[in-house]
Amino acid sequence: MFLKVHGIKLHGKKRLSIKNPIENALNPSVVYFPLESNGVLYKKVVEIGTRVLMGQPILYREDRYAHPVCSSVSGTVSDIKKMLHSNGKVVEMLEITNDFKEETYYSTCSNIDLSRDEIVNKVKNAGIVGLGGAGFPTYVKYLPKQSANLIIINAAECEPYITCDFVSILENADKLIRGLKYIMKANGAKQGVIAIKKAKVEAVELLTEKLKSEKHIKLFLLKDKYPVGWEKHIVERVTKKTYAALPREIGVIVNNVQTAICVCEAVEENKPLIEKVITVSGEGIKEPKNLRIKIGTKFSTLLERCGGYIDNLEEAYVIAGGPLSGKSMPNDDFIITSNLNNVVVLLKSPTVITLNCIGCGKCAEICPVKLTPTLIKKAYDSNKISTIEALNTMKCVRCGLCSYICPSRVDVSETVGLAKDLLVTSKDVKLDQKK
Amino acid sequence: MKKFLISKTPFIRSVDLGSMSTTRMMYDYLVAFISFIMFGFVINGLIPYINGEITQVYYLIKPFINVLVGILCSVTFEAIYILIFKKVKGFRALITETHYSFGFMVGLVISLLLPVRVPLYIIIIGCFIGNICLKMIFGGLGKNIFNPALLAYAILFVVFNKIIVNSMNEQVLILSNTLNITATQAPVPAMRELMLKLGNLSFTSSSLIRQFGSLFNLFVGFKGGNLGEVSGFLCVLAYIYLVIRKSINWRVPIFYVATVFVISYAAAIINKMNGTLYGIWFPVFNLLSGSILFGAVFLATDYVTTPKTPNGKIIYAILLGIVTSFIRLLIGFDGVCISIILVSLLTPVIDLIASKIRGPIINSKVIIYYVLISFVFLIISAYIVYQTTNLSFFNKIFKN
Repeated sequence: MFLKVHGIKLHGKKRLSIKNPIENALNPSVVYFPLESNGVLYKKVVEIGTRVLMGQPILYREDRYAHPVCSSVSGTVSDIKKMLHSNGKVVEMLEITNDFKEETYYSTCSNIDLSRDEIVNKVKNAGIVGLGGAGFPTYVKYLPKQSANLIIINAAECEPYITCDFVSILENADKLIRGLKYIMKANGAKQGVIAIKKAKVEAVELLTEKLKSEKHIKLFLLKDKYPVGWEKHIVERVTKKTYAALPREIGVIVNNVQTAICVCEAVEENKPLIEKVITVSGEGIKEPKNLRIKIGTKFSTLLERCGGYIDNLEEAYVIAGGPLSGKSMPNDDFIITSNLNNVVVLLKSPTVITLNCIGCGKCAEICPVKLTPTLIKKAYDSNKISTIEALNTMKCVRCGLCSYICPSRVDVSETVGLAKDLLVTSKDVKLDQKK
Repeated sequence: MKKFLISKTPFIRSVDLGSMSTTRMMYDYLVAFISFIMFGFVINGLIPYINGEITQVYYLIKPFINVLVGILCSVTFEAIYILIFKKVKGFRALITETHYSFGFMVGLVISLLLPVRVPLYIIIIGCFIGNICLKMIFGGLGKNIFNPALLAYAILFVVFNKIIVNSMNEQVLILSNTLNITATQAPVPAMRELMLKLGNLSFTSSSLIRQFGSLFNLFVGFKGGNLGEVSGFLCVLAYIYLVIRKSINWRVPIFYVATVFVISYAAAIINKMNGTLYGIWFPVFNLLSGSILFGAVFLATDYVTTPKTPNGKIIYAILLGIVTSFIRLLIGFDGVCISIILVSLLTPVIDLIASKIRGPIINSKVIIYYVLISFVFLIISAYIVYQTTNLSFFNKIFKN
């Protein structure tokens, strides 16, 4: 059954960076690639001291979602260092020193009339992962032999401050459409949809213009609300159907704008995932910008491009990710990994008084998956796993709206996230005991 | 930059953007109550004073004294409790802690629930019961099980029954003389007397409403009653104000009032009451008398003791309406306070059921739940309506 999502209109603050075209910041002196990322281990296939070319595979993911990670510069593998990952953990990373020669490992191909499997293979070998934030290997979505009906490009970008997808559309609309066509071909899909917010007038106009001649690709306009960019919501709005875990269940595949552009580049130029566009924004940044960067760049080197922090800044949040779902960093020397879309520097808010939960129920009302966060928090505080499970905690999408709306400034979404983690681990323990 | 701040997501909060906060919600209640206090002063102090019904200045400003005593006692009691049992450092911390405990609400509501002419010591005792025994001992703001003001009022009503009823009657008499109406009792006791006399609800509009002049009198608030809960008009205004400010949830008052209306209208029809539209005056009278509107807007919407889920709020409100109707139509008491206390006992259960059947997917199981709940509600309501035709059984139990 199709259900209306209770979103909320947030102050987008996109104006800070929306007028700025993409600027290239493609010459970092060193880049870093994590050997472990969110619990996934990568095996290194090059030794310290070897020279690598731009686009050469250096790491390999070895589990069932196997894919390579390619070097984003040409240079020498110089060290393995402990560096700060954009998820907030300090992990071992491969350091590559740039020699600025930009020698490429791949060569552009002329034949772009490829079969289904060839496209999937190219996407796999290019190491493309979802650039929307989850970082899930893209080709895995294309693997099922069964044809998909519909490909949706998620261009909603509903969190405040983020503009990188918007400027990417303006700059690379053709590539986006071609990328979408390749994805459709790779999955045997007949229909493609680009879902974008109504409020992004320029991008909507441009795409309408470009899509005039396309029969199978449509534009779908979304409301200017948070969280319309959530995958399930987009699928429900477009198809009027719902699903349990993955959109593939109802024959739908959702990809991010930048992922589609990357697919296009991978198919046409054999270019692996080595660059991406990120937004550096927030009140604490002098000149908020959209930058095209090499994956693996250290954030502090990008700061100069944006004029640095504003003057006399004593304390601020440096957030990897959006202000609603991102993570605050303990310093600005963190590495920009492929799943990071933006960095926001926010000033400290004046009030930090947290009161008791008075049970007003605003969090239950705003929750897009209709959970009751305050009850989950209560159950978590008293450690009742059965109650946590009964309250459907597994459905939480971690949008952060419950904490956003809380009039007492209680950290509800944090606790709900912890409760969900607790549930996952307790389920794993149960499974282990059964075995 | 010198310091990198670490915090939990999300980094933007509506509280910081200044749109909504617990403090603002509490002060919205206070703002809404001010109109009630002013009206209570006009109807219970000013008009009788001008007409010469009361001569002492003390009784002229008694409404203000009641409210002030209530608020001051509550805040003082809480401050003393915090000083003794919580380790606060310095005077400033004590002030902040006391302020963010919002103790004034309890004293304010108690003073508004009691009749104007009640002795002040009753209000002080009520504040002690409410703030210390029912709120702070449970852990302060947000941790209490019962609505402290309501349960304190209920305890006062039982313990000091004679005094409260007498001061209520005194006040009604003064008001009747002032407004040239014949009522010697507040609307609900007047209705109860008729119920006891007739043995059912088949009274006529003339026998009930004439005492108070007209329904309009009741709506504006020209009737005896407690200090705060007399004016239906002000209740509607306060409801609109609080909903626009998003300080209360719109659901509970609407569904509560609607349930009471429907059940009493059904009772009016089945008892063949006279008047336009098969006696539509009776449900209107029922809503305007006593504290239903006041309770719906201010007491049934209490955050702490009502369900948190939106659909749970609706279930709660309907159940509340049914219980209130039961007490009102079959026993003849006001019933609002006691029904809110009773139903708030069920809040955790309602919340659990409601959050289970409230999901992104509506399947047959969920629909069965809803149908089952509505069926149960329907059966109970039908039983109440049926029983109104013959009250002898209840009269036997509750006759004095």
